[in-house]
Order: sequence, then structure tokens, then C-alpha cells
Amino acid sequence: MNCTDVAAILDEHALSRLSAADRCALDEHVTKCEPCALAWHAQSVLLALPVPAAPADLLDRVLRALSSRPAHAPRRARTRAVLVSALLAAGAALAAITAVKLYERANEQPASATSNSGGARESAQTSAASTQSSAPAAPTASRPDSAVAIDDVDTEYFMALRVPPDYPPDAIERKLEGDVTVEYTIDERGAVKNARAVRSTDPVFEASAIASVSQWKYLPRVRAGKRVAVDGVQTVMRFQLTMPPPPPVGAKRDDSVRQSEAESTAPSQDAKSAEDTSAAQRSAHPVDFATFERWMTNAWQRSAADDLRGAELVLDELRATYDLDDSQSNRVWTFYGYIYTRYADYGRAIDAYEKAVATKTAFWSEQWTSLASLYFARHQYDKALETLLTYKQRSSSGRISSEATAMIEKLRALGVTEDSVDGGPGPHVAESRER
Amino acid sequence: MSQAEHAEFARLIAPHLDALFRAAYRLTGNRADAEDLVQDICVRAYANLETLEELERPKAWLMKIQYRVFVDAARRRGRSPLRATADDLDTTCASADPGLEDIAEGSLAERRILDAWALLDKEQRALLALHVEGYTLAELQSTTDLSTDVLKARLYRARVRLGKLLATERAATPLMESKA
Repeated sequence: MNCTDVAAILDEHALSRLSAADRCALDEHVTKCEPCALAWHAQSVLLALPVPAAPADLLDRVLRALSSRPAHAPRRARTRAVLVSALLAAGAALAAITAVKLYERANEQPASATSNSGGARESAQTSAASTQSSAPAAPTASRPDSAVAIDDVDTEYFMALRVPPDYPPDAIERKLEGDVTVEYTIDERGAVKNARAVRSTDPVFEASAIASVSQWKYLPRVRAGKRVAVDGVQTVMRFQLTMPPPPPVGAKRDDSVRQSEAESTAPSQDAKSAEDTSAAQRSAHPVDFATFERWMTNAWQRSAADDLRGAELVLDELRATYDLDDSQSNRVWTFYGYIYTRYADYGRAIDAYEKAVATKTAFWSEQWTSLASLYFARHQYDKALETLLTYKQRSSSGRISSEATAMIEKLRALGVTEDSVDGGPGPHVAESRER
Repeated sequence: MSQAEHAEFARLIAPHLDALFRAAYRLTGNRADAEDLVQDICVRAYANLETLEELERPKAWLMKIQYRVFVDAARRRGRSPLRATADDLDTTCASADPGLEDIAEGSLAERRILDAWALLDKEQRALLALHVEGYTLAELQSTTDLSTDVLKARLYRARVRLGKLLATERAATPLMESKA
């Protein structure tokens, strides 16, 4: 491997396609060759730099400008900023010497921590949930993708990016801890709208919680092949003053998410062992929190602008550049699943979701139901049910989301029940399924 | 210009606007200039509507216009179009109450990258911008009329230069240090 080879890899965006041996050779060269290291770094930075989507009315303005030639179109005021300053916010949160723990609980997950909030409120989603109308005859037949119309596929919204809140200085002064339940809409692009606090232990936290949630980005829910908005999503954000060890490079926000999950639900062995392994697995090229979020921001922006290939490219490069930890892999593979679903490449979508749920941090009901939906759409009903049952088992409370329940009902109507498939996968079935 | 021409132009240009805007944003480093650049390209493309109608791959042609317009405009003005960004940002900051949006756009890390970016010469910027937007070497070659070897060498040099600038910038602003 020499400089020319490195240049060629960069030129052709070939990083993600390298063999393991080539990848080693490349790493070795780059550690010794400063220009190549610089070139490599520059390329990663550029790839990760978010680019805003074109304004929706750009065409109109272009046409107006044409009509009013030769007068130059007036420069637009600076508006419509949609850039997420994930890095800025993350930097600020890390600078604050407080631990902000946040965990998201989609409305249907176990509500132990906030059950008195009326918190586990169902959104208007159940009515929209079952648009699949194909009820084909042979329930277990697996058919090629060509048999699946895009209309058949539903996937769930999924968090792509979270910006941690700032700890309100007032609260720090008063040594106050607490939590805020925020409710909001995820619009059809995946942006958060109308965030409001529905419950809080102290109003002092509300503004900060709302400000942070408003910057979060999701992969939107897909219903019958169309992206749709979701109302009534709730997240509990917990503010705790307990001082963690000073965040090392890449203070893992997801670690704290995991901790909160573990605390808020019954202490679960899964979560414990997940902590252990992910610490042990931290390897040669970890990616710090801010950098990871920046890549994800960029991928999200591209996919929100319907540049799916661009989003895929960003994820490919991200994966090739760094060794992702468990929860990062989970998020990245879910993102791939979404992209492939929208490509209507369901085989790859299923592979991607399988990889996502095979991670130990697959706590989110959304990725399980998306995977089951895909199997369902491909008429692999056994696999759909198996997925849902695995999810049920891994859910610490044994409760599952309303979408999952609805799908199990639908499968039952087709004659696919727990009895008809091997219903007893152990807790490690997800791992063993990884190919 | 007729309504029909207008509609025809809209139909032809619409699928490419997003890509043009993205590349324009990479080139100019800010939204307002990116929009101006896209409008500029469209004015030129419209003047050549007949060509546009006949092209098999209009995107390559549009990109070529974009490249030319950007590189030439930078040459004409004799200064980096990114200076305009700095001016704009100053005005923004001067306004009494910068909205969230302005803060978001001016995110420190992004500013830092854009600052380093602004120090590249316009051709380096154009090459890297188009490349990172997913253009292949062959496409870049037809856009720039450079030979493959020259193109490759320039891309590599541009990256190394940007890497150096980023390293310098980083050293200068330890507060936002990113240890990636």
C-alpha cells in the first residue's frame, strides 16, 4: 500500500469495499505517512459536514428569477436554517460538569418511571397501523422481492440523532435533579415538531428539555410506502447531578442511555452484560460522540432530502472509518434498514434490521416491528412471528408495543400462532441469528 | 419567453435542483450564496434550453456550468466568495437577538471547517466539493477538462492541504477540540 493506492481509495470512495487485509495495510500506511493521514482526515471531515436540503420553493424562485431577467434576483434573507448543530450542543453538554441522563421511551414501552403521568399514552398511531391488506393464501411461502409492492411495507420511526440537553444553570445552583416528560410530533421528514412538556418534577428543566428534543431527528415512520408523521411520541429526560468520571474522548451518551434503561426498568441482565462487552470491545478506531453524531446528522440530512444513495455512502464510510460500539452499530444498521426499505430492496433491509436487533442494545420496539413488517410483507410469516416473540422475550417487562401486538393478531388471523412456530427462542437467539 | 418554455424548463431542471444546491452549498459554504449560484446556473441553462432538451445526461452539463460559474466568478471578484459568508455572519451576529437558526448555522465546529475550507483555493474547493458529492473521476474529468493524472494529483493535494488547515485550526481552538 502506497500513497497512490490511498489516493485511489479516497478517489473512488472505496474504503467500505476494502478487504480486511487491504484495510490493515491501509491503516498501517496511514499511521506512518503524514500526508495520507491528513488527506484521509480531510475527506472524513468533508463527508461528515452536514449540507442543508435545498429550500422547498427553490424552483419557484428560480423561475421567478428567470421571468425578471436581467435583474438579479434579490438575495434572500437568511432563513430556513435547518442545520442541526449536534456537535455544538454536544460540546456544550459535555462542558457542563453534570451528567444528563436521558432515555427515550416510546409511548408504548414499560412506564415504570412515569406511570403516574398518564405517560404511556397511546398516540393516534394504532388506527393508521394496519394498512397492509394483502392477505395471501400460503402463509409460510417466501416470495421474491418482486412480489412485494412498495405499498405493502411499513416501517417504524426510529431515532437517528439525539442532542443532549444543557443542564439549566439554575438547577445546578440549587443542586436540583429531576425529569421531564416531553411529548412531540415526528413529522414526515423525521424532524421533531410541537415539543411540549407534559410533566416535570420542576419547571426549571422544561425549557432545556424541549430545546434539546426539538433538535432530535428521526427516520420517519413509513406507512404503505409513504412517510407519515407520528403524533404523541413521549420521551422522559432525566437530569441528574451525579458527577460521572470526566468524559473521556467520546463520552458515550448511549452508555448513559443504557444505564438509564437498566435503572428505570427492572435490573436486566442483558443491559448489564451489554455494558461489559461493549467496554471490552472498544477497539482500535473508536469514534467519539460528537463525531459520530456529526456523521449521523449528515446521513439524516441526505436521507431527508431523498438522497438515499448519499446517506448510504455516508454510513458506509462511517462504518469503514471507525469501529462502532454496540449501540452505534445498532443505530447505523437501523438506518441502513430504513434506506433499503425505501429503495424497496427488502432483502438487504431485512439483513440490516437483523444486524440491528442482533446488537445487545436493541431495546427499541421500533426496529423489531420494522423487521417483522418486512418479513410480513414478504409473506415470511413465521419469521415475522419469530421476530416479534424474540422482541417480547427481550423486553424486560414482557410487554410489547401496540404495533407488535396488532401484528401478532394479524398473524393469528392468518393461522400463524406461537404454536405453529418454535416459540421458545432463548434470550440469545438474536445473536445466533446473525449471519 | 413563453409559458411553455417555462414549463419545459421547470420539468427539465427540477430533478437536478437538489444536487445543484448541495454542490453549490459545498462550493460557497452558505445557503444564500448557494441559492444565488443555483439561480445563476439556471439563468445560463435557460438561455441554452435547446441544448438542455437534447442532452442525455443533463446533470453533467449542469455541473460543468456550475463549476465554470463558480471558478470564474471567484476569479472575477478577485476574492473568495466565502468572504461574503463572513460578512453575512457578522451582520447576523450584529442583530440583537440571533435566532436559534442562526446559532445552528454558525455551529462552531462547522464554522471551523468552513473557515479552513475558505482558505483552499477555489479550484481545490470545487474539485473536493464535487467529488464528495459523489461524482466519479470520469464525471469530474469531463467537468474540469483535466487529464486523469492531473485530476488525481490535484484531488490528493487539495485533501492534504485541507487536512493541514484543519489541523492548524484545531490547534488554534483547543476549546472545541475533537480528538477523532
